[in-house]
Amino acid sequence: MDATQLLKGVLDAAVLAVVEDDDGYGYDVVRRLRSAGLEEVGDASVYGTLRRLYAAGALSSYVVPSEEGPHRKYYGINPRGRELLEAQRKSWRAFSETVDHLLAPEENSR
Amino acid sequence: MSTTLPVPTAPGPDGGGATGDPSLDARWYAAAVRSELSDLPSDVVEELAGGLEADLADLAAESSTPLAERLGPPRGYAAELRSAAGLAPRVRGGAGGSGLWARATEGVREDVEHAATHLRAQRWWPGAVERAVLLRPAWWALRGALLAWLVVGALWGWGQTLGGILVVLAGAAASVEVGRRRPVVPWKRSLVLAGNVLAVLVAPFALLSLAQPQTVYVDSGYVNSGPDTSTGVWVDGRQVTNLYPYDAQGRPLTGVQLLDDYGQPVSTTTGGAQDWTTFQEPSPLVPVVDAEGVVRWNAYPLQVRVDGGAPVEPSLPQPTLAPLLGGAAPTAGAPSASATPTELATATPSATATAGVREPLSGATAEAPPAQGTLAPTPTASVAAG
Repeated sequence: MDATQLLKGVLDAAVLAVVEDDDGYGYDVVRRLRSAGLEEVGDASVYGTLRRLYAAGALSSYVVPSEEGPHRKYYGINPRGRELLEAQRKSWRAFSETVDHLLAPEENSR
Repeated sequence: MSTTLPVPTAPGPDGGGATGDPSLDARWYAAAVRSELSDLPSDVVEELAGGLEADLADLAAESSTPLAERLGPPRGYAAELRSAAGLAPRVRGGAGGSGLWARATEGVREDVEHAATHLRAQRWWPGAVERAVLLRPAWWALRGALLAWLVVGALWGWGQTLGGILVVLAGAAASVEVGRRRPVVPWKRSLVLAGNVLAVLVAPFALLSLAQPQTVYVDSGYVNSGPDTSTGVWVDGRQVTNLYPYDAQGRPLTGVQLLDDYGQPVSTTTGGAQDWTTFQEPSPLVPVVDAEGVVRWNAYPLQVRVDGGAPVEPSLPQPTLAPLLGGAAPTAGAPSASATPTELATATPSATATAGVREPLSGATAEAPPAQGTLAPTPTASVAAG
């Protein structure tokens, strides 16, 4: 099964989850996702998701100027984002339980 | 809102990415992505691509593999960014102009982009890029020299002059300076691009001009059109038309036959008009004929015919010369070499064959061994020649 297809559905939740504890800039978020095991995540997908969540009011954003390079755009979760994350956690749990149940052949067949 | 640092305007698909400089690679890639988003309102673009340079610079610093190879072409990256951000995909051909031209260039652009991505994925590509980057200053210098060469040639012609060489060197130096500063402003970049294209076009002509033998201006015309020094007798750069022998006593001689050290007759002229004068007049000089009937142009002094009359002895440059000292005295019993002009008064043409034959000269002229044993005697009579 193509993991990238699965990833699309949960990317919002995953991105919200990695910035829940600590603010992060774009590539920082990508790295956290990858180190958590989502190797196939695409840079542009993560950036686009960050922008969309920001546009939806789930993230706050601020720019940190840099002396020697381009400025960094940091994203942090806000109350609206926490609500969204909590809602997505619930729906993911329900969804994954359902699919787990569906995909467990031995239990299902008896 | 945030402010953006100046980024280079979007270059072509291959316009300066993969330079081996990570930050430059990131800037180029970010600029390319921004250009793919150019149909969106600027605040949306800023929202999407803000901070992209920093993120890409981080990524680029991780490995030397060019971004375009790791992330794919900027176009695909931009499309993914849009889609993840929940924006509609770009409508092709709408924003960039309409009509056939836009569609045609779109196709070419896509092809070039494909080819560039394919190239970047090659194993040898990073090494080739590295070498190309190392050689870039050489191209800058060459480019400047070529353009300066073109300007010099157009203004002052194509000969090599010191001034022209100086201008070419100055052009090379200026071009290196331009290359070092990496112009960012769009119109300056366009100017540099135009300069590069022009230099590439000029290069073959410059090569041809180098390969051809240089035009030499060292008076070749003068040498070719000047007098032919291969015949006749020349003294101090002037052609001599007659010779006047004097004996050891300083007295003028007549009928003296001269040979050179190769045994060849020394002839100032053979009667051609061009030997005598540039005005194409017939030569007034007249040769004598020896006892065997051979015309001798080397018996001096040559006689002169004035106004169609009988040949006469030419007037002497000096009536007599001071006698020579030592060993120059005439040997007793030997015939004197002092044949006076009166003795040798011209005979009539009818007397040619049987005229009195003069004795061969000896004594004063015998100091050097003769080139030939003896010569045929020269009659004193002159023939009508010329």
